[in-house]
Amino acid sequence: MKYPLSLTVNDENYDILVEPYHTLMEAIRDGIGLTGTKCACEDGRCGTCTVLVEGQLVKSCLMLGLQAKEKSVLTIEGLGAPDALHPLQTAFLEHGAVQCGYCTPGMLLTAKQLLDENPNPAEEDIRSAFVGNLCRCGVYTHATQAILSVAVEKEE
Amino acid sequence: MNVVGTSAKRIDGIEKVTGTAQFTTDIVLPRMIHAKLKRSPLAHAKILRIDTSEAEQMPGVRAVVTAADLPDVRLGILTLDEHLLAHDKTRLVGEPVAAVAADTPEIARAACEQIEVEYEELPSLFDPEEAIKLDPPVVLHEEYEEYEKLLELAEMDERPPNLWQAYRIRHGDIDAAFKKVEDEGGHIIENRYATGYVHTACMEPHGAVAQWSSDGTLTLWAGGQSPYIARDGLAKALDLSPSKVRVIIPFVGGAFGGKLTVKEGAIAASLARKARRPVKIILTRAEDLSATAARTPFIFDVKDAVTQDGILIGRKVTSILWGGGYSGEGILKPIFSTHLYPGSYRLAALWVDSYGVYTNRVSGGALRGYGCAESAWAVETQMDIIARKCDIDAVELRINNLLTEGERTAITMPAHAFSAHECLTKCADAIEWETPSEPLDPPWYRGKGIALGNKYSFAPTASSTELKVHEDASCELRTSAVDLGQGAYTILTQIVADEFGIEIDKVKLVTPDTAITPFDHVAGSSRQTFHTGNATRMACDDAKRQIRELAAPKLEAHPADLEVSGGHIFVKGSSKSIEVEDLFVVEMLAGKRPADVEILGKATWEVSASPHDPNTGQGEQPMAYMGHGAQAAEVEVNVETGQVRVRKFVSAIDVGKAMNPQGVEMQNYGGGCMGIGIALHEDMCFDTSGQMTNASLMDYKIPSIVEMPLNEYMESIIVEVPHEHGPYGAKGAGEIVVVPTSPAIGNAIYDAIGVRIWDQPLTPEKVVKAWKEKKASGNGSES
Repeated sequence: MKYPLSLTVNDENYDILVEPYHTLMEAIRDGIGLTGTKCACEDGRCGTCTVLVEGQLVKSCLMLGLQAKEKSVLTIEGLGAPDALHPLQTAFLEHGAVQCGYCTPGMLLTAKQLLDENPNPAEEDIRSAFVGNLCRCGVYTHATQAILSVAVEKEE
Repeated sequence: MNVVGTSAKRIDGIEKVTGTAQFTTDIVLPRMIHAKLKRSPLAHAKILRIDTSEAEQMPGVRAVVTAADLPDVRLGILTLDEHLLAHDKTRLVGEPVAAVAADTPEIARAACEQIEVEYEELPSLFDPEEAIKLDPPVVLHEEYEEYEKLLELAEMDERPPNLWQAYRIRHGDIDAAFKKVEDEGGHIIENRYATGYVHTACMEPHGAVAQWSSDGTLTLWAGGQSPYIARDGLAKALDLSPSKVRVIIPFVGGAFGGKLTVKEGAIAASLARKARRPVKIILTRAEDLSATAARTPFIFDVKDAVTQDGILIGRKVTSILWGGGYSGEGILKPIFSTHLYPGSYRLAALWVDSYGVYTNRVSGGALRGYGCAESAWAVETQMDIIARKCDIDAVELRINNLLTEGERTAITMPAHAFSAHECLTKCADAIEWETPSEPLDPPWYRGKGIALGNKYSFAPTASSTELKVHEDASCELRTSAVDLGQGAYTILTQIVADEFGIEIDKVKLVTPDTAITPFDHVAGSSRQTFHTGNATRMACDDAKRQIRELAAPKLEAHPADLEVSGGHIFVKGSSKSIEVEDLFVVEMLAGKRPADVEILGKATWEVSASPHDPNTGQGEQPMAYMGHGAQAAEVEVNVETGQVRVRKFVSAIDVGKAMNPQGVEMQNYGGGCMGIGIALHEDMCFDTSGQMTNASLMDYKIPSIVEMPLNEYMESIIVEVPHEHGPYGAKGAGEIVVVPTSPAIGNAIYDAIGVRIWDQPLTPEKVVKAWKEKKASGNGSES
């Protein structure tokens, strides 16, 4: 039986119905139709489904949808728009940190949360923050450069 | 306008960073239902009975299919040995035997559990060296001789019953080479190498969405590497005319060779036809890792004849590709892997016997490098061993053995755009090859290693493109080339912009859709820049020819005297010009009206090949081109824990012309990343029943950020030795970047601690074991 779920995603309120066993990832993708949040591993390892819940990093395949009741969620669609990119989105493009693009939304939200907490991370901080985000194309080096460039811009 | 050669930003980048890029997993259609597969729990069994009645009765279940619902056709790349759903017999754990489509994925999964399958378990065969025997304990395909086959195996007195590939190279007098070395006091160096079980593990799992229209046309969306291979495979599997199949490729979340065919899409299509509703199938990560084609292991026995002064004069190789239940997409690997035995080296005599065999494990598929990354492990480790044996520097030894431009290799093809020397020396300089690693305190040791690599691109092959010029002078390229992440769409866009002298944002790409976009062979074998790039240039030329012909009367000039650039048509050497948009209007007495103008350039680029003789491996043009690259690594090894850290990594590859230098750097780093995983820790593990035991990304360990060297220790070097047939001289970059990685790392481990590990991956357990053995014997493991 489906249960009602009220939550805020990217500053918009949604009232949807979800099965009690549906994850937040499924609620966002199937219930709301925001498909920028991807699914790749189903067990919390890869980080492609990363979203921010109340500003905290959450792998949305590990949280039940109903646990997000009345919570505020940020997905990739809320980070920036095609005509108003977030500086991290711009930096990822400029530094070549995007290949197939499947892990990109999760990487960007991990990067955002890192910079929210630590606006000037060292490379080691970025590596620590990204242990939970896998990328098979191997954009790690370029993603690190991209995040460092945003941190430097903030500093200037 | 010089857009080619600049690091233009990805044209699909904004969609990808904003989450608006649509992948197969994101597609939702009205009334769409969901499919799940019932898979075999047994590695080898006869199917006695399948009872789907209970599953069919479950609420929400819309269709169930088994082999009985499908045409009785066998599928395959060149040896047609596999049914879409198991037919009479299952030959590996995870082989699909039935499929269900239901209102939700959960119902479909529950219904699969209600399908009863009665099996008669048969003995399984997992050992490739048992499998290749003339009298093996188990035969997987009793009907092999009756299968349709599109390739010829090397002649043999009697075919071992589990053999699906046999290929030989017979070049020069191999016995004379070994005798010369014996007589003159050189070295005979003989070793056995093995590669591991590796999976593409793309972030986007395999999946498809299938929909039938009322006229019996199937439309399939799938993240495949070739819409046309997918279309033809679907047509064959479902007994349709290819014209009744439309394949659309949305964004693809990585492929690396793992998405050449779309078997699960064909199953979804059969369910959709029965249910009369669109069906979506997305494999779980466990299914994706355990039951889709993998890079299955090779075993290589390599014996080299080397003169005292380090010249390789003869090489003998026997290799077995450890295939799975079906020949699969790996069918040509036993052939293509042999290109690396001469590789970049001069070899007076080369003698190769290369085989592929069936076993009851996951079928062999393609993975970035298609056999070359595997054979490089053997031959480039061997080169390091030879160098040490001859007491010659490993870079110098390689240089001493290199071919020269124009020289014929041991597989006949002349070396062209031969850049091995440049790649090697630039790579060596970057890793400061002459300077030994700074020592660390025990138990940590540092060392450096280097390796060369090659990657051919197969032939025969073809790419077609169409180029439409619009009224506003913008260009629309229609291509079935697929951007898997490698950046093909951006490079093709750059080419069009360059050819027309327009801004990159004036170029639009129409992406793969067999109803619209013309034939392109496949996004594989590092072929898109080379082949589709050529086709794109030619289609641009064709469109410009049409423009010149349309403009000539208006400009009162000969078409040959006109030039098209930046939306203008100029008369050479004069100030006369018109705009492209002027071609689309006709001036009438009463004014202007739109002209009946369609400017549509079309072109097909083809590369033919002379067939390889499977008995000698000789052929004039066995491939489209040969790529070159070198990589070096500095590693840190902990002899107590066996941990290996790659401290420094250099990748120097020859791309002929860097169409997009940042894109090349992305391949260098990304390929290195994958290569580090393959070398050190990626390993599909199986239990004694043939079941994969680590089918999750938690347990099948692809590299994360911490396995990569720090940014300051990553170096990408671009070498540009133009190929005479490449567009702007360009060659592909997608695969060569993983070819030398494993031997470079293995050689660095030897440099650090003096041990060889012969079988990949080079895990901590193996490092510790090899170190302990070395300590016990008081000696290195190879002398």
